[in-house]
Amino acid sequence: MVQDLGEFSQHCVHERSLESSRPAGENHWFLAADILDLIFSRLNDGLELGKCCRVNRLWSEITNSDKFWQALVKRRWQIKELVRYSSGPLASERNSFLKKIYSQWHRSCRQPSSSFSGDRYPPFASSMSRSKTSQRFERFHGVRFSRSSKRAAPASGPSVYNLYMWVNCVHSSDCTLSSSMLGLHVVVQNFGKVPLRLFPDQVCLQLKTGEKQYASWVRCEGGQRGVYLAVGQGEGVVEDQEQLEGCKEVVLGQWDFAVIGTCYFHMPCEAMFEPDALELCDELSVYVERADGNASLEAMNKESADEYEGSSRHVTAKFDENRIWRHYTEVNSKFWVFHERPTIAGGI
Amino acid sequence: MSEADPEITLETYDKHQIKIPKSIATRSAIINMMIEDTGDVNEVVPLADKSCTLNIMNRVIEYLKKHAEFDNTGADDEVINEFDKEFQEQSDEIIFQTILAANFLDIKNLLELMCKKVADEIKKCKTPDDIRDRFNIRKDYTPEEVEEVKRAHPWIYDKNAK
Repeated sequence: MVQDLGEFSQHCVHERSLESSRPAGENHWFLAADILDLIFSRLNDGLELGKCCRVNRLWSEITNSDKFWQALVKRRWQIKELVRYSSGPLASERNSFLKKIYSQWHRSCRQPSSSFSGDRYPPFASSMSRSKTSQRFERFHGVRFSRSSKRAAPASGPSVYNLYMWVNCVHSSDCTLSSSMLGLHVVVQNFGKVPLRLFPDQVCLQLKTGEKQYASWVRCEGGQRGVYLAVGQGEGVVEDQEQLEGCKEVVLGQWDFAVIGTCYFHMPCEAMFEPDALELCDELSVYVERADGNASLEAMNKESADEYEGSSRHVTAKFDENRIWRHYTEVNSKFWVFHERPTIAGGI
Repeated sequence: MSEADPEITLETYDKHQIKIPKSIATRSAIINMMIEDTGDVNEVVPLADKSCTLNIMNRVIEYLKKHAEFDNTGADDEVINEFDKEFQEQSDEIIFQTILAANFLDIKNLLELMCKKVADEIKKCKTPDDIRDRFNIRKDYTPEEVEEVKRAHPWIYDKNAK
């Protein structure tokens, strides 16, 4: 199997590669554009592809191609079809247009990845208003996106303060039921411009029966109590767990998200398995108030003025039955297993 | 060999001849096409791509034979995955040449398998520098260009900015 290197490089020189600029001793084959195409199409995360952009000029040129980013945008935000209805200067750019869209959405609409598996999961309950979100996206560079009809809309009213809350129940570490205690992994993100003060110990679960209860305790990923806040907008996410351990309130700037951790709630004894328990849940709410003092309505446009009415509110996330059951399958009357391991990242 | 499955002679790029059963050879869409074009199973099939050397063709044929066997016996996915996994563990040179050969011969699952391997290797690298080190690639960016691409899409370039 050992092959003469001279012979090898002779075989591997690709017509389209940058022959003249190649120093001796370099691994030539990685410059072959056709092969890189095949390999990049198998990367399924924007961050992976982003790393490749920075390797060298050829890699950057290839990875800027819309075809990779289109696949990633569709995958991560579960979009069936991308429809372009305006031909502005940006929309006519041949390459890296969808890279910009991915970049924009990633920043404004991100679901932190699970610390357990590193994947992003579609949330079961979400406080995000579907119509509002898609309006937002439609405004971006004059591109309209039609959503997959398969995806169930998170049933909820407009979210006050543009604070979005996700409840992860997909991975076993994110949703557990033991001794009649249901653990839910809760994440909130401030989508609006107004800084908000969040009270993480005020997480309240309402059951379908109308019964309300606050979280009995909250556990962080590191096993600590309380929330940790991850702040960042391109400069990198700062996770300051130590400082925020057991804290009563955190302030979220725009795009900041807070991982409240796993909140535990008492469940009625008839709930035997996680999906049973989730089905009993109606909505989860968390108490927030404005953190910038006076309501400076002039600073906001008319649309958002409505959203910021009042100074404190509960942000709620509704549970969606259809989505809950999609992830479980009945094996026999006593056991439930994950129907499928969802791989699509859930920003929305 | 039975009459229903005659032997095909392949000529590799470095002028070696390999005899394999037709049922194996036709798992490559290109070889299948070439055989059908000539209509004569006794004619030597030349493999014109640089990647199709004796070494690589032996490996490709090993893969095809094994997968033909899996298909015939209806082997468990576990067994197939184990073989595939072992097959992936090769030096970069061999992986690359196998990709080229699979691409040329149009063997979809082999191509998929080897590209997946490289993609996995890329995923293991945490930074662009790691990728360059791992695959021995030269950096042809100027420092100014690096700053420029960083500015363009900051989140992409920060591994923490999830």
